[in-house]
Amino acid sequence: MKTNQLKTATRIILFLCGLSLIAVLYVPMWSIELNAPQYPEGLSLAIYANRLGGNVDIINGLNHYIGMKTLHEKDFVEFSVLPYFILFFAAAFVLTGLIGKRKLLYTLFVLFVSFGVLAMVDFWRWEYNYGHDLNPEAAIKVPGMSYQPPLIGYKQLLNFGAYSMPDIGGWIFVLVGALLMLLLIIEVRSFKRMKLGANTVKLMVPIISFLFLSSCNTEPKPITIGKDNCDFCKMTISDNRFGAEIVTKKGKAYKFDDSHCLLS
Amino acid sequence: MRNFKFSAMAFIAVALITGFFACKPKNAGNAVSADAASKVYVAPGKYDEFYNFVSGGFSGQMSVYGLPSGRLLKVVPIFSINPENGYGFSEESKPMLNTSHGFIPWDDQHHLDLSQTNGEIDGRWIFANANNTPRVARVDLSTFHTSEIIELPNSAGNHSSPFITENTEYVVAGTRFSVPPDDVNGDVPINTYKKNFKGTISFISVDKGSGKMDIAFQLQCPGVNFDLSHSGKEKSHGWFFFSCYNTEQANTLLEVNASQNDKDFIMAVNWKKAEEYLKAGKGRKQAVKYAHNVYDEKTHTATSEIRTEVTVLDTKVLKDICYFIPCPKSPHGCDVDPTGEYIVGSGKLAALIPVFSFDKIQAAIAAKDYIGDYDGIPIIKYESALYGEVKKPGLGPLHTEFDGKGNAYTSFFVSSEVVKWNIKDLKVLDRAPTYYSVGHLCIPGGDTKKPNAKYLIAYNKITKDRYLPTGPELAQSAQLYDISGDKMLLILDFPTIGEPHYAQAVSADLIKNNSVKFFKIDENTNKYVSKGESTTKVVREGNKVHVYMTAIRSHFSPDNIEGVKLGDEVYFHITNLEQDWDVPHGFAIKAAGNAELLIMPGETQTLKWTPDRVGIIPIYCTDFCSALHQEMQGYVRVSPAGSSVPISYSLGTNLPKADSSTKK
Repeated sequence: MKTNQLKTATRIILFLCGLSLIAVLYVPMWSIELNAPQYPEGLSLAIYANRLGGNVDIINGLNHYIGMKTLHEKDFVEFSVLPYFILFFAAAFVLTGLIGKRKLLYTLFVLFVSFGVLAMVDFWRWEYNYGHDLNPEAAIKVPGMSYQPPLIGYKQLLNFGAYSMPDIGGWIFVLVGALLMLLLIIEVRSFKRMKLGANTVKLMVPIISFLFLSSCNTEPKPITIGKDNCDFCKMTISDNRFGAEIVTKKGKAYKFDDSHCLLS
Repeated sequence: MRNFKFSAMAFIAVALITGFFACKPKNAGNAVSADAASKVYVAPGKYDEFYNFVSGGFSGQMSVYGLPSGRLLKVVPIFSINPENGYGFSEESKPMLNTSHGFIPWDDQHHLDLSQTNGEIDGRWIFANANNTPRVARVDLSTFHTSEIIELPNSAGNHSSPFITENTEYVVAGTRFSVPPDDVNGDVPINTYKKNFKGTISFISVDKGSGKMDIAFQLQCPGVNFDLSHSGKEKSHGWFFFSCYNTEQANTLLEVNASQNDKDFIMAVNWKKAEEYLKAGKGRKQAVKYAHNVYDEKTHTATSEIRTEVTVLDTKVLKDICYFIPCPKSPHGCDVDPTGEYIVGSGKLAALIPVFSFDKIQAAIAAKDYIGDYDGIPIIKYESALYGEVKKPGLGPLHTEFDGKGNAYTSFFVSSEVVKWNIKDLKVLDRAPTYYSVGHLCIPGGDTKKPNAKYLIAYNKITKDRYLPTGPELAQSAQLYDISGDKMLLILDFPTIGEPHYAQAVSADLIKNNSVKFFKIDENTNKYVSKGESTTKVVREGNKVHVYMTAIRSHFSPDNIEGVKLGDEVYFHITNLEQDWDVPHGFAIKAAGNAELLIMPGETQTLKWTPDRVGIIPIYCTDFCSALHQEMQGYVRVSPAGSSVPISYSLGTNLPKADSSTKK
């Protein structure tokens, strides 16, 4: 048995992953959706590998009132380097699939996960600056307020509800990452056949998947209109449009009748 | 091995899909209660409960809606010409739109205020402001005609207007744009704003019987922007409160430069004190030019005079008239509750609502509790005038109305909602979303001593998807709420003409019984009236031709006119001889560079026509008046200039000469 060679199935999957990564260059990777009563049609910011899309101009127009910087593609160094990173990984996956060496798989996994973490950290830092670095001459100044969009998930910002989620490109990345991890486990398991028991592995998969999903864990509990009370001000939650809810990492849901109670 | 692979894949797939849909807040549906339809349905043949007078904004007119049905009853032309009925086109109505700058065919109509007696709506008149060329109009609610328009000197951007005192002693108007006064050299650099530009408040007295307006006096104030205002009531009667912004006194990029100060002001004006100074002769007589136009319902004619003097009181020199009270962040609304004790400021960039107490303001003035002065006017300490603040009510408060039960309703533009709060406790009681971005509110009598708090109407700035799309230009949206219970209930949504800013509403009973049905022909004293068909004639005076004509179902008299020549100015003076309800006649001339006339029963109106070519010109009635409306027509013969065709006119007698070939 060639122990430093990957299974054929693994290699095929790696090859296909590499190809799908090329698709990421052409579709949006991440989207931030903004909802407010006076925008029933919704607003969205689509982040591609090399540019911004969606209602960038409208969002810029609104944000200048609160002093947020105008978004220009040329200000983002990420847009010039990201396509190369993606191409690199696409090539890396394809090559790993073709060459099929075990060591390559391990290296690829480490590199890919590091890249993912680095990207999220960079995104968070950009979001922090975008929301905190405000123009002191802004017309609307709400004391103590900052407008950092959520990294992932939902957050109320003044009259806008912001919902930050991966888009098609982002999901491809996630899927590729998940597959990569699965392949790694399978390969490791078959390599160290005696060392890891079958039951242990059966347990590991759900645990790892659960940890992976903990960023956007359980669904919020539905708010019963007319019955539930706001956890902050105790008013009856009477209108769906203004109800708000926080679900903590542990899955506990706090319900509010208005975004301002939630912010308090 | 296979099982494991399959279950692992399946698990991951399911986890990914559920993760994708988690956390996103569900889009809420519109919450309208099930019995809303029965609350707003007014059956055919039945009247609405309320008249809702709504400002027309950039249309320049006032619209009248019935509540609760939301049906448009009428558009009353005030500041814009109206070709539909000849307002601004007929010779009798043109003087109404005359100003010291000449004839102006349009204006921007923002606010309305119904006349009051003892702090209650009396249904006699409604006052309207013109924002662009500063004027105030009075509309007679028995005829729904604009009766009087007075121009305001020393003013620009007449926004803080018209707001009346408890007994309609005064209609008060304030400037939005400070400018150099009329009697100084206005040719100064714009950036000398701080030194040269002044704000002016006009106090227009209203005659108790006739309603005639006169500028009693003006107050010259610091150069800030005045936004909205309201008079005091009961204990605060004798005072007026104005919201001021741009205390930074910026003259450019006000979006940024007028939003810098943490607090602007509410200006409290003791007008009884101003009256004292006026009586003592402390006012300065200033030479100005402004128009005063009156429409007389007996002569059916408007007359315009240019007045040349106004009395100005300088508030920098004459003490104890004005006081400034700090108010957060560019206040828009300034509303006084029915008891006259609480004054609510709405700072459009603020995140709270300050409520001031009249008693505390009086105490602060007596104790001279000031923190300094602004351009000579003392500034009262914020905490000394404040009753309390409503915390975190919403985003972007604009306007507050009252229900007379101790509650206030404030509109929030940015968070697009109406918030109900208790004045004494300063606690939020209820919220209702508006679709979308509400500006002003209206409760019938909501700014008087006796609100009739059955309904609340919210006038929204953004309409978007509320009605069938009509291209890029959409109507504005108004929403009707039932506020008779504890919670606000949305019951109707209707589009409006123009852009409604302020509105007033009153029980229909006060107005519907006084509504004039037709004008008595015997009382018609128009210069060109024809009281019967026998008195009609066509008269030439040089190159002017006067046609004295009558209209009655279904003919004009005369209806054949000859002898008009190119180069003539022809005046058609039409008297509608009908003496019955809802029988107007219209009048139009082919290719006249003019609109039509719509003449009410008993009225006389004149249309001027300059023929542009030789030939036969038809005239006809444009308003369907009878079964034979199509037969209500006539002809005018236009001959070349210098022709010898004499003036002749007739009805029914101008028959063709007998044809010799048919003689037997």
